Amino acid sequence: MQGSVSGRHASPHRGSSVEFAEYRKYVPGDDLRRLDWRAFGRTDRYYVKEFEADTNLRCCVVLDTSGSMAYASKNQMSKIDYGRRIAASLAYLAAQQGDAVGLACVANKLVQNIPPRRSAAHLKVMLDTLEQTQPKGETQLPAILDELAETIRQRALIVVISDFFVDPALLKNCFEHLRFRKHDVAAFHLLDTQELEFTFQRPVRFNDMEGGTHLFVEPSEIADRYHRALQTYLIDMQRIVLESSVDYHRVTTSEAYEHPLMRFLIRRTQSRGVR
Amino acid sequence: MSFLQPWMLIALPLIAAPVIIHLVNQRRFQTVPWAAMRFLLQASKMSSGYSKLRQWLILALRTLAIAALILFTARPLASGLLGLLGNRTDEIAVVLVDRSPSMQQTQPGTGMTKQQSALMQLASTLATLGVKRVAVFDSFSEKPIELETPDDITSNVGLLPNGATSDLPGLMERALAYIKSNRLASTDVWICSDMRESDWKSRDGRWGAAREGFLDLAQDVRFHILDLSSGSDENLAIRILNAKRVEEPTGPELSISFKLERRSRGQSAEKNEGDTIAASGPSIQVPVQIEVGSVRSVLPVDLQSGLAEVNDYRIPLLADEPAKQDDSRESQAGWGAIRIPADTNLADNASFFVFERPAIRRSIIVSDNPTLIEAIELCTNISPEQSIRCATETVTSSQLDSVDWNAISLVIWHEQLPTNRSLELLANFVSSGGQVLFLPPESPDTTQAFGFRWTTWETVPPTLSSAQSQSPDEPTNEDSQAALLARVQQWRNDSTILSNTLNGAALPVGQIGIKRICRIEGNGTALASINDSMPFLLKMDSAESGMSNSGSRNGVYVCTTTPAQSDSTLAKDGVVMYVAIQRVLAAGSERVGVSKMRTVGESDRKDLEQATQEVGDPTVFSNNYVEHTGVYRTPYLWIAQNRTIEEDNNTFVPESSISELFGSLPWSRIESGANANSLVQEIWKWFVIAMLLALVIEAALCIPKRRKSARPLDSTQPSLR
Repeated sequence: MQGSVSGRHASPHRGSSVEFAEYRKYVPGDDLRRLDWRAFGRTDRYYVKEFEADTNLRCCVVLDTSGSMAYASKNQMSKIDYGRRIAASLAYLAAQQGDAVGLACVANKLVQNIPPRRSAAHLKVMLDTLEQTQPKGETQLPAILDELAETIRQRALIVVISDFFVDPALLKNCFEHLRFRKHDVAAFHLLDTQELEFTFQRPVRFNDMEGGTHLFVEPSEIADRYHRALQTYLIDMQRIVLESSVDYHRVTTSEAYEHPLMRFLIRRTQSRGVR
Repeated sequence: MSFLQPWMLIALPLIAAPVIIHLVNQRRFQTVPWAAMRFLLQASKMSSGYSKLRQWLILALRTLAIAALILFTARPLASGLLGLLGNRTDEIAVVLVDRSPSMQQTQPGTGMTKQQSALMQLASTLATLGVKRVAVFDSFSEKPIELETPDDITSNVGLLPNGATSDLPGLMERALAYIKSNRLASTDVWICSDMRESDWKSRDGRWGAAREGFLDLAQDVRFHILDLSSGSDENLAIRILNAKRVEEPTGPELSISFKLERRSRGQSAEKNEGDTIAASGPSIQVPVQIEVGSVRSVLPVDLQSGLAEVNDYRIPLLADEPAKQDDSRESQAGWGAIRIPADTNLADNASFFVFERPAIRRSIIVSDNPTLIEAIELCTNISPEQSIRCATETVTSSQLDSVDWNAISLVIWHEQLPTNRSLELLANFVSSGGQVLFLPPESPDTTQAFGFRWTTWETVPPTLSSAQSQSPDEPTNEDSQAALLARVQQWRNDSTILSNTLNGAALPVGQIGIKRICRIEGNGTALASINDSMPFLLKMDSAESGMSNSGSRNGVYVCTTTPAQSDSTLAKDGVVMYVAIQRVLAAGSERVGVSKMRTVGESDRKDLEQATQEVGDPTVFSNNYVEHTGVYRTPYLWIAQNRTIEEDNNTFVPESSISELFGSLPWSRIESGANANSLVQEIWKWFVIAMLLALVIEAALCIPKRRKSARPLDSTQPSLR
């Protein structure tokens, strides 16, 4: 992780640290203080000793607060609540490590944008914001992600928490844009059990939570085609995150939120060796 | 379509129930806020035509199931009567049955005759229609046969086939009288017939009277004709033409003549042309079995062009036993039958005959001046055939009591008209079939008998045509006088005694010259006349003669002149007189013999009251002999009964004639198929099947498709990164 202060995250740059990285041949211009004299004594050659540079983390949590995130099937947590919990947990963990963490609430516009900071008071501001944010309006996630990619100047970890009910092609562009800007991107894809299973029995009038449209259908008539459309979308999502190198986690809201969080953290530890 | 319980059809609006339930269900939806709308919209766009079709199909099948259920409970009927019976079921049905021999033809593909088939179909139909009682009319039962249930039609012995030609107009009249007298409400009249003209008599005047009678009825009467004219196969028929005993030097012989015909329904023949003689068929040899008493022989007859006629086929008879060589007619009588092998119609495969030694044709002349009518005596004495003997006796009216009337065939009466005892004897004679010819006396008095009386003699002026035809160079006075005589201008050659000869030539009645006639007062049918006001020969009406029971055998003739030279040229031009007298004599001789060949229906019931059956259908009850063919023996007579000659004249009544016969009466014609058990059938089973099918298909369409997986993808699938 790239940062301006020393922290607990591995920096992409080699620097001063206690964590040995590798030997490298001396080239003119290298700092003579970094010559490993013992190696010179043993091999009669000049080697420079390099160490892993530790840096601080800049984490930006992007939470989708569009209307669709308010959906909750019977006896289940809504997607917005689920997203709030994940976002709050990540903010808390980051703050406890001394990392800078920020929050962007996204609906049809950038509803809230709290830049990353490291102070303890900042965490409280974030948690209060998460509590007060209400899901409303259409989602403009792709456009706002593009905007964030431009506005966040320093490299950061972008954690997107959303149901991603947008065009996968647009989403792919956003992810590639973020990756182009050297950001590390993680995505929590929140889905309700009912959205996956579609187990309605009687005729249902479905009201769009992000617009005024509604649809009257016989669920048994349409279920198969709904599943086919959903499956096509999910396959597209998998392909996109693979191509965009996004750390992707599909989450069902019936699952305890610790589990996806745990999977996310463990995977990052394994891939980067973060202590 | 007609229904037995049409009131159930008021439930038909219930077929809208599935539609209403569907609409109500549409209104009872739940509203759900939904996030993944994009997939729902995609799925909705992907909705195929089959899905919509399936929904409509389910709705239609539910509607169909309910409709089938309602129609099933209404008990629908299907037949050729669709729509004709309407929804009417009567308590009582009137049935007119044609039991003629042609109705005994076997239907192809079944073992049943047309009559059996028709009665079975009718019984089933009437039972289906809920008819409680049936009144059946046939030509021989004076009263209708009233049956308690329709099923009794097939088992009633009074409706077994007979040998008589039916009389449909008569049956119609009786049916009309029955409906009137019983004050029936709306009635269906069923006519079972094979549509032969011989049974229908479409030119009979009674049709018009019956039609008017039905039209005048206040109640609604509908006619249903069960047409059994179809389905006839080739059929052979045999008919006896003549059977007589001939005395030959070698001994007595039986001479028979018969006709054999093969008839078939042409494929392209119009229906009203009837069966045709199968002239195109192959020549075949038919073994004709000839049965004389207990002796049987077989005569092979070559049938060419569908027709064969055997004339004067001789069969030697056993010589009479010496003890019986008297004039006992009964000892010299016999009976027989000719038969052909069984074919499609058993009723025309046999013909019966009786024979006897020819009777002496005895005549008596009652005249107070026999010399005037010597020529008539000559005519009665000279036999036309060698085997027939004739005898004439001249008596006066006072000697009539001594005459053996049972042996007399003809009476020539040339006296004042009979009175008292003479009239009584003569009336009995005429009633029993005797023939009488009255000739005017010289001085007639005012006595009246047999519906007429003589008035005065009148000289007949020469007719204009005869005067003009006189030639100026005629040689003799006698010839010129004869040429000036009045001639018989008109005569009926359809009458028995003045009909044409066998070769078709007319009798020379017009050559008879009349000088004077004796006028009469009374009603009779003029058989020959000089002009409209001068009858020459009359046949007196039965009713006027007081012979109401003699029927067609009434033989009272009146000639208004005599054969005397001063009156006419009857004696001079004797051919007409001889032929006429011999014909009358032959008709009168029929009463003398003991053997009678008649057609079925010709005999009175009382003729056969004490009869025993010599040959014929053994299942026939003795009280029904009069309507069946066969040979019957009474204490005094041998009677052979055969089907009428009209039965072999297979002309069908055309559709147009039926329309005319029924006029504006409601009627329908139903082709009665051989294989149909009933003319109408309840078809509720089909509606039950339709309902079940609709429900099964509906259920199959409603089964939800099995989903492969409730969760398309594992939500906890690890990242692919």
